[in-house]
Amino acid sequence: MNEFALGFSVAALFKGTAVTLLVTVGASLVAIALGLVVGLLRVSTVAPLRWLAVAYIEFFRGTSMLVQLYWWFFVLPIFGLTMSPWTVAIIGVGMNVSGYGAELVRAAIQSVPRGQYEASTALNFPRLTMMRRIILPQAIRGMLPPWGNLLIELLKGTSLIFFITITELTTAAKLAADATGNYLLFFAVALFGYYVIARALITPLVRWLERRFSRGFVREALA
Amino acid sequence: MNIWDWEYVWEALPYLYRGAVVTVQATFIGFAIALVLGLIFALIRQSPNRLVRGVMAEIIEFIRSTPLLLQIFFVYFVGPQFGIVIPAWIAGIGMLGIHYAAYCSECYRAGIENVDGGQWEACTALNFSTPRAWRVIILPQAIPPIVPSLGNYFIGMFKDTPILAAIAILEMLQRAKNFGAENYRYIEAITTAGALYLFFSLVASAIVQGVSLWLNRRYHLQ
Repeated sequence: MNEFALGFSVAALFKGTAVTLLVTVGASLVAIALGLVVGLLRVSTVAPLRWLAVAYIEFFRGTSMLVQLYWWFFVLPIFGLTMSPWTVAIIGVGMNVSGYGAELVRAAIQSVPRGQYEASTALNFPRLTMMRRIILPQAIRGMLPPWGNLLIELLKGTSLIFFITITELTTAAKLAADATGNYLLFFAVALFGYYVIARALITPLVRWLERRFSRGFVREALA
Repeated sequence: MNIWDWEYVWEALPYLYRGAVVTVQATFIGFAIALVLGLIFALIRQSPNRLVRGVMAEIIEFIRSTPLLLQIFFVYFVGPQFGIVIPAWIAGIGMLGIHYAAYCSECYRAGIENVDGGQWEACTALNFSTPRAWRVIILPQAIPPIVPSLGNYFIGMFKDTPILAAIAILEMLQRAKNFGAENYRYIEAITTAGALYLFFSLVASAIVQGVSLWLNRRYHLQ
């Protein structure tokens, strides 16, 4: 393997890592925002809104992420809606994960003890205030650990944008390996890249958020 | 040109059918591997040796936090570099199985750790050997409660099979894409493939529920 090809491939790998990180962050924001909205709609008191949320969740959880990406990328242009691969990557991965996220939000909201709702009613809180001040702050603590797992799933999901022409970490590793013939080296490096992102960035971030949102709680109160 | 043409749906169906057969085969074989290997992983994780336990936990964590696509590439392309050629089928389905084995082993672990400690003590009191205790007492109690969560992975695995297309296995989605490329009619092919995935997911979740009910009745749980 000559020096030039190696240097070139290493640079491409770094660029691929940056792309993976960028798409992960973008898709996470989409997933968190939509997951929260749909999760709240799912526990709404208005039945049609609830049905809408159920349809959304079942659709995005029921079909494969790759099918959805293909749909965004190959089918929507036929309806005249052409999006750049970047938009497809961020929205496609984000919306797929938001289906799972919405279920986490619902589960966390429903696991807040009934007494909290009754107390809010007794104190004459409007429903919105009750959600914002009483229910969500407690629910967020419960939903953070599964969200951590989900974000790692999302990170892994970004490898699927390989199929829609973006050169992220997996694609960069594949190209570099094809160019130099050293599959072991480049695939091993890429595998470790994902492992490091998951274990050294996402896990500590979620741990930190857990501590942050646990401030002011009595240790045994919710344990 | 119509936006949606049923003609193309009927024309695409035979293609998709051939792909669906591959998808279903891959899911069943892959899941069989995942169930067996996952149990082995989980049992190794219960080993009395701290080192063995730690190494196994780290391996599981590694498999779980790296993408399946890259793992399949690794198995498929690294072998030939050293003169070992693995057929796409074996590399793809094998890796699918190993990937999900890591997830399943965590399920098994939850089930095993939920078995009451007294059961172990009773086994010791009755002078059961360790393998016999596992086989006759512990596992029959550990597995039925975790069938629903194993079932989730069954459905998840089914939805991950399109990744096999990356190493040229013609499963359902790849067939749909090829059909779209040949006729320049992506809408019908990809949407029908999506609908079929949804249909199979629903069937699979019904199967899982049936198995869960049957096991719970068979072992008189709940």
